[in-house]
Amino acid sequence: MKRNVFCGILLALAGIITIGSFTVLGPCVHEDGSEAVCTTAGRAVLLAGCVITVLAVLTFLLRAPATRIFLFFLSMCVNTVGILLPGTLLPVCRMDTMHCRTVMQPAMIILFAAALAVSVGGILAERSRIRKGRT
Amino acid sequence: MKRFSLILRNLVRKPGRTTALVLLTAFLSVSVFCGTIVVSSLRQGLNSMENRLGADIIVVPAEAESKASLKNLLLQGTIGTFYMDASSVEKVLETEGVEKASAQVFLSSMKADCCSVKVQVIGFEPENDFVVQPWIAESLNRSLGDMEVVVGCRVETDVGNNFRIYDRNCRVVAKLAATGTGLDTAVYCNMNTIHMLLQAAEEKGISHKIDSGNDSDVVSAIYVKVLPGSDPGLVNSRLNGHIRKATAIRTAGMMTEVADSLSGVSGTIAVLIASVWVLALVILFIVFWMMVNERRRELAVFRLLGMSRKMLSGMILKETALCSFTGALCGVALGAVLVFPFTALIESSLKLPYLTPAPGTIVLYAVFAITVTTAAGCLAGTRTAARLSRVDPGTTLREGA
Repeated sequence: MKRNVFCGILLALAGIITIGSFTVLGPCVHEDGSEAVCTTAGRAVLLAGCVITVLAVLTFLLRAPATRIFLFFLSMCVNTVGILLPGTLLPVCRMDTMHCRTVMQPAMIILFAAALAVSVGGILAERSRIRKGRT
Repeated sequence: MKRFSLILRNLVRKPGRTTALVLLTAFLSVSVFCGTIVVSSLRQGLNSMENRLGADIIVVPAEAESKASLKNLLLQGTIGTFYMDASSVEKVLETEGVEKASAQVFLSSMKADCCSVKVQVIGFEPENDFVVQPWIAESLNRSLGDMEVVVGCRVETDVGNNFRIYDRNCRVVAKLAATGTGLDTAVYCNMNTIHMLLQAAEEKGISHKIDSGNDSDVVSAIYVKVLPGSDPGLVNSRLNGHIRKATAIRTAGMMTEVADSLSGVSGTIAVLIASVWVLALVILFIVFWMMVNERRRELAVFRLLGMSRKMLSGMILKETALCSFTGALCGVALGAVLVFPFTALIESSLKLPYLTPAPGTIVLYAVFAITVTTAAGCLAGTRTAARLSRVDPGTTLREGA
């Protein structure tokens, strides 16, 4: 049970990122249906969310601590990229009253940062488990 | 230090109880910190709006009220394009009780190259203006030239950049300080520039329905300062009677409306904070009451080992203080994550002027929230500490046997 706490939180965060990126936490939507500047950033966030979801599910299924550490490390990398996606790596609308600037960017940075912290926590937990196993 | 390590070990060995206490106090701290920040930001926004709105009366075309409320234009940056004859300025100046009058022309950009939305372009007369110019003077110490613009703090461009409006390049010469109102998303230029932009808009086939057909003969709003000692209400009535197809609106009335909305929001936040506090304090008292029964035997052992009553109650109080302080710190951190990244969202949702306080003030609010929450936690724990320290070790241990 305790082993899966970090995977569970990571999966929940990944779910919020994935579902949020095409619902309330998504990019701006133009009335005429045309693409906004931030649409690409929204798609990239969705992709990152999906990748983290897959990694979190794999961490649930695979029990070997070394494999779990590797998966958490991968998730850590994806989360770091995720933090940088809206606004740094990919453009968002430049007016800071736009939905992508008021909702998507801050929410995604917070969620990816939280997922990053959980991944780091997961790595530390698995490492301490390996150490305990040796002693 | 040894005693402190005992307190820490007590807390670590009961993770469930410790987490519950930390979460409860964090909840209290979040409500105090977020509530204080939001209310103070709203108050600061209102003050800023009052300072920026240097006029007593605003004269706008009669159609303006239906087309775009002036209050919305000021608060939310709603795009408003309405025009009246420029001769109205002369009529306003002729009106008894008027000290100064300054005209502005509004134009909405089609889609500025900066973003995916329209921006409000405001043309003013730098030589006569007493509304925008003092504000611009804080950022620009020379007069605004032709095809030069000053942008609000929320227009995402930098000084020295070119800003394209209706295919005309305007040079950004200054960026204004935040006001917390919709004017932060506006672009300001002189009258020559705005007339060139109006012309450019016409060339692009965007009609602004100017009756006279001449762009230079129109104004959108006239800001009026009444003579000292004159009654603004009376001047307002005179203006309404004197100028045809225009409405004079008192800014004081507009400010009162905003202040009323603000007090409504502040009241709601205060009620919410009070409810959260009552609820959390009740839960906190229940948790401590349950703790009395749970820890009776444990503390009896401490008494048998030679701990005095004072030491025992001190230990319980220190545990409570540590939990409350940790919870308060976590709460402030969570509150900061919830409030600061979403400032623009809160502002647009409340539809009120919103200006985040200076960092020093925020630190003060954080210290206040931490102090109040820790004090509340300690207060709730005092009775428990006193009750537990009075435990008779012999009776308690016999009861349990």
